[in-house]
Amino acid sequence: MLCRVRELSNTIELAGWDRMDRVLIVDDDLELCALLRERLSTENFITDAVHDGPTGVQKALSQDYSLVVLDLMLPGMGGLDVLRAIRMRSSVPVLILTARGEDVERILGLEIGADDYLPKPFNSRELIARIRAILRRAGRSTLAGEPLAFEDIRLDRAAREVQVGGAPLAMTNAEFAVLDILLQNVGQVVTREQLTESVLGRKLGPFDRVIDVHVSNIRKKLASRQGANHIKAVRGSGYVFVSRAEAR
Amino acid sequence: MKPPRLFLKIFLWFWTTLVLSALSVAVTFLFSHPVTRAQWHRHWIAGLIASALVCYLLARYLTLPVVRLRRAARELAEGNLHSRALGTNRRDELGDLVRDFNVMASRIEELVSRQRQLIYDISHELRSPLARLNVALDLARERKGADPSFDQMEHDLERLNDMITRLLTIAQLDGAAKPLAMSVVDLSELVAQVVHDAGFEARHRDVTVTLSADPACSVVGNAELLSSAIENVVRNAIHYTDVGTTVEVALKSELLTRRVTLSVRDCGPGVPDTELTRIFLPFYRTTEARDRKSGGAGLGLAIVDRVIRSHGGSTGATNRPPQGLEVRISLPSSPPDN
Repeated sequence: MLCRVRELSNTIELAGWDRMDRVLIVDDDLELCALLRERLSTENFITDAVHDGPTGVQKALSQDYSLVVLDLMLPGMGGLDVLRAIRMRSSVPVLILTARGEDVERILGLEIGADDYLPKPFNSRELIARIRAILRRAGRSTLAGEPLAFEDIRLDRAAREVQVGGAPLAMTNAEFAVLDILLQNVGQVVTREQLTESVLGRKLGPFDRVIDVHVSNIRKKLASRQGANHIKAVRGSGYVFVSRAEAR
Repeated sequence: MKPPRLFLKIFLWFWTTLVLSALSVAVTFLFSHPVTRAQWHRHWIAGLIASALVCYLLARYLTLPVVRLRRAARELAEGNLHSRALGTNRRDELGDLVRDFNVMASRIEELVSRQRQLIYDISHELRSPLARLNVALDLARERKGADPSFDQMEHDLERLNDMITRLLTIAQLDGAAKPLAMSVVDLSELVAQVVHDAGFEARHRDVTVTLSADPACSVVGNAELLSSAIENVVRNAIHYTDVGTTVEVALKSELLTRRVTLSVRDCGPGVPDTELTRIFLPFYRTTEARDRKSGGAGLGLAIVDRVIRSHGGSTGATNRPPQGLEVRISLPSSPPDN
């Protein structure tokens, strides 16, 4: 009953502040959620917190939120399963919180389609910066721009859609942004630093492999349609998008 | 390999006893039945061979369990806690000893694994309050403004974070957590990446990191862990090398021994010769140069050593004249066409 009242008050709040971004926190640590909500509210975010997987999926798919902060260490339905369920139906940006040292989970999370990750325990200023960066990019990519086309790949910024050979190809927000940059620079090396800065809105950290996972996801998706590896890695520096002739 | 002394002792005692008693029997027998010299020799040699055979089998029967026990004890001491002695079927005292030894080994294994599990669980549990503290501290900053004591708190929180992360990694390597996922890893690319990433830190100290790598050195392993191990060594070198000097990283593939060797050499103060093997122990730090002011908890190289050993490799450190420390990592290379 109390929850219901709180939700109602949130809705009222939302009506007055529809410019504010709504963030959903999925974490089983109730005290942490309370602290985070308080901290995020000082930065003008409206936050909701849920503490289990199924509710998390349901809320994340409700289209009320511009971003989901998801803890991968959830009891019951694990964070990775929650992410998978969200990604089957929605491309809402997801920032995952992973335990330090659990590198496999982190990589898996990014492969399933998380936008970025933050190791827990985290610095809340860092969390806010990452949320802002992801939201800024998500907002920007919906701005109209002329579609990019290369060979049979077509990227429509206005519709936020990628087509390969006329058929649409599902991409997450982050993957879309990476592909966008690579397609703007066909044949030129785009450094990992550049990609991280413009896609994740932050500096490339040491031993930071988020961009590489996004690139590898795009590669897999393109290869499933074409069987060609369009994106070549340039050792120690970055990636380059090449034509199909060069890809083979 | 030392000679099997116990075996020789038992063998010689029994043999001498047997031969002497045979001789005394033979002497009394000879008085009643005189034999020719040739017959005497033949009996004598046959008796000697037969008794040697009997004594060999007897000595072996008695020493084999000891040899097996020793092998198991040594494996146990080297850290293989699954090791057990063979030969539990004997019904005698030696069989009892082997069985008791195995019970003891099981008990040690249980205790150690329980202790590791405890470290893992505690570190794991400590992270939730730490995560909350981080956010609460930030809220406090937001309300009360800048204060040097907040900076100190934040700094210490980061330290705690780091230590817990490393303890968890150690626990994971000691087998308290899930088993490691292994695959073929291109070490040349991995090292290039680590050196590239370490550039951020090196530039701060005006340190140059050079890399010379043989192409296509690959090993079977866990890429994340190998990367963090190599990162640890490289960052350590950057940390301790003198300002404005060079850290040399070299990756060599040795075809003959089928091993890959990585060496990281700095131009720092080095480590006293007597301490060279101890720098790989957890919480180790030398008294002067590597003191607490430098930040870490002395877990970095301990993790490196564990990671490398869990990949069937070895680590070592030497002081290089005129100055500086060289850390070497040797790993078995992955079989080709795999």
